[in-house]
Amino acid sequence: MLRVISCIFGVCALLCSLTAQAHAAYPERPVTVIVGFGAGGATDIMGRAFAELLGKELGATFIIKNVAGAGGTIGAAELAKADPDGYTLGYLPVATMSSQPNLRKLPYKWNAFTPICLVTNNPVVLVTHAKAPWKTFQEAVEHLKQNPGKYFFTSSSPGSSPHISQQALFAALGLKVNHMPSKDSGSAIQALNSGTVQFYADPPVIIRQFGLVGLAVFGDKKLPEYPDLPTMKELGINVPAFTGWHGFWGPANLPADVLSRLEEAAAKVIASEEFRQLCARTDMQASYLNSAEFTKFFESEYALYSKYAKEFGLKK
Amino acid sequence: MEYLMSGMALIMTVGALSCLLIGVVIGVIVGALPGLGSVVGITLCLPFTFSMDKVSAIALLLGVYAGSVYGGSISAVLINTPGTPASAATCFDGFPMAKSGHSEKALGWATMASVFGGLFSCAVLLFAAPQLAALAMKFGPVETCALILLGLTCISTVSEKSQFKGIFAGTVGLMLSIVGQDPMTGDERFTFNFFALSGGMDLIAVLVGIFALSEVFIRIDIVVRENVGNIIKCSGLILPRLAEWKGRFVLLLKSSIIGSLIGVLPGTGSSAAAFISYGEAKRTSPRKENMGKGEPDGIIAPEAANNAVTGGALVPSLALGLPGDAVTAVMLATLIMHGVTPGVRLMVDSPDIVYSIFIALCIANLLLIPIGYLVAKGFAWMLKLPESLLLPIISLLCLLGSYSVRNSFVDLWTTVIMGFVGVIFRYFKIPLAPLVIGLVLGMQFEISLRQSLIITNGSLQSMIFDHPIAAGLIVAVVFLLLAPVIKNILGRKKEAAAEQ
Repeated sequence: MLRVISCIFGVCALLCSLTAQAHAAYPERPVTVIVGFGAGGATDIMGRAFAELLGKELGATFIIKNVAGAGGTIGAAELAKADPDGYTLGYLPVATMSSQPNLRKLPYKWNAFTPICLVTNNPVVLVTHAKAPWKTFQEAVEHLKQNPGKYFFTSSSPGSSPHISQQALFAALGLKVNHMPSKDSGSAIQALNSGTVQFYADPPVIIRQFGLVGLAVFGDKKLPEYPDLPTMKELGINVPAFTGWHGFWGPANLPADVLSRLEEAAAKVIASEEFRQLCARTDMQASYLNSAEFTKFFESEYALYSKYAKEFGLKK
Repeated sequence: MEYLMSGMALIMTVGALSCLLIGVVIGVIVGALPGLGSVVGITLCLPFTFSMDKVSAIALLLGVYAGSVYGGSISAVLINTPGTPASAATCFDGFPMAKSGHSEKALGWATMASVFGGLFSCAVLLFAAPQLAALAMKFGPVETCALILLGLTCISTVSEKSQFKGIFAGTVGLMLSIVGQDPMTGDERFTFNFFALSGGMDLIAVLVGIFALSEVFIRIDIVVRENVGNIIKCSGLILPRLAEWKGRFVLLLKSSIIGSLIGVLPGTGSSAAAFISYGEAKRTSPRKENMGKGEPDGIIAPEAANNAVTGGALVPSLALGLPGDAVTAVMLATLIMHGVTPGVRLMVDSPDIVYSIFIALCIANLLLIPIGYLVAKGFAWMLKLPESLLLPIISLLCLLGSYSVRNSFVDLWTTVIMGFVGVIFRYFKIPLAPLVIGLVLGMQFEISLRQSLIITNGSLQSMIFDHPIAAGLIVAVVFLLLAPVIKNILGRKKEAAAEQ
């Protein structure tokens, strides 16, 4: 009798698991999204909103886990170590992924990830403070030529994209401008506005937000909100088009079906009206690239930072 | 004035006011629980703010902010463990006062000082925000470095018995602040190839370990050996009478000014303000002899100062869009999420929001009195638990608090190790506070010093002559350090003269 009952139970269990299998599409339990920075930062705010919309799209809860410290690399290390089952993902920016691996030894390889998609991508502008004796790029260059070594630029941390982009620019122009690293972008703006330093580079929102003067935009695309701001290409300066971007990542070897499901959902989220509004409010530019395109983009970005890190003696 | 009215209209809605109330309740509770602090409270509330309107969202966060800075004093007084870094200095006199049977009074002093400090800083925010923001803009790396140097002199004031031991503890704190990435080059230092340490020592993890966990360890020892009952008895909170404030009002005002000014300067923070203010009280209070033994002045000074930081920290946040600490950074991010861009245009473009923030902070400070009363009651009840239950609860909260800041296991280890370090320090009668001062100020000191060396090209001359504010601060530092020595020499001469 007992055997019969256990048999029945066994068959039931089997049936249940079969039906479960049939319905079991990723994700069937909450997904953790690692953000490599503290709550309330630019990466956290965008990551949080993106994860929430993605959770709605996929019908699962996406939980943000802030693993802060060391330029986001501690969070990235945790992601690199995670099981590639799609339940631990990461929202990490250019500084963590393309720049940090060049500066020091990390417990993971720079490409120990599956790039799922690019989420936002902002142009970078060179700015100066409102009391500076120059108002345009050409005037600034004149001053810098006459006073080599007298002026300073700042960055949000050593090796960050503001640092690399500005140093690359001044190197391309053959100008000697000193670097004074700051603790984060807030203190960089403070250093700029207090007149301690003269230059900084970050997404264009800072011009309006902090009353700064834009000098030029990296790359070849004009900014619609600042039509007078020249591009580096217009100025005839051969410097790469540095941008500030956020990406969505998984650990290496993410299963193909999970990847395609995430890619598809992320594309929908990024194209959605809600996300567009969010970007408008936070002055971010939504910019979707699928996994294959993003992988290519990431590789070229990494190569770019790697090259400059070597050139500027930052590579360890 | 009309903006004040429209700001008032924004905040005086049922939704916004109840958010403010909930915020203060959450803030005081997380603040009072050892290990959980402002950042945890704010992170907890952040997801809810997305679905609220902007004024309610900000009201909630402001409530948590003001509440948590105050709440830390409750556990500092009752269990000798600061609930937040801001209240570390409150332990010095709060706990001895509670031990001598006046815990309700000690909480009353802390509450009134916090409320006054908070309201004072609101007034500062209302009347002088643009001017103070302009002052903050004069603070470059050289000035910041000199100011922090001034803060570091507190190490000598809070380590009275043995300067050597105080300086030793301060040096350990400074060395802990070096662990992690070099702020100027990104190289790793003192991580011993242990990657998780590259993010540096977390202040909360160290603080919770060295104050709270070591207190637990010491109590276990006392309970096991002497089998005494609960040390502190408390029945709630008694506000000090007006007559008792006589002779203390100047201190209250001075501490509030110190707190507001330090709050205005980005990156220094409420714990530094509390220590500096305590040090100043210890130097100049007419009752300085009693400080450290349960003197109300020793509670008023740090508590007025740390709550005054809240209004001060909002000055650069609202006038310039530059957050003074992690909490104001989250507040600004919340504004951004709601389509208000903080920055130089905020006060011009949306004055109603700025004024509603100011009014909300005023109300939050007033709410501290009733809510402080209720939470103190709750704590009084908790203290009646047998120590064998209370101590594990405190330990659990400590570990939870230190883990939740960065979600990092290394912080748990830091807390446990620091707990033992704290026991060793107490055994050898080495003061704990200098270690915390060193750690709090060390990193900022290093960054500003090295930035100063870069911009002045390493020239001492330029550091002093091109930066008059910094030069003034350095003169003050020299004076503070030499004053006791000179006094000592003069005293001896007088004695010698009297003998002759």
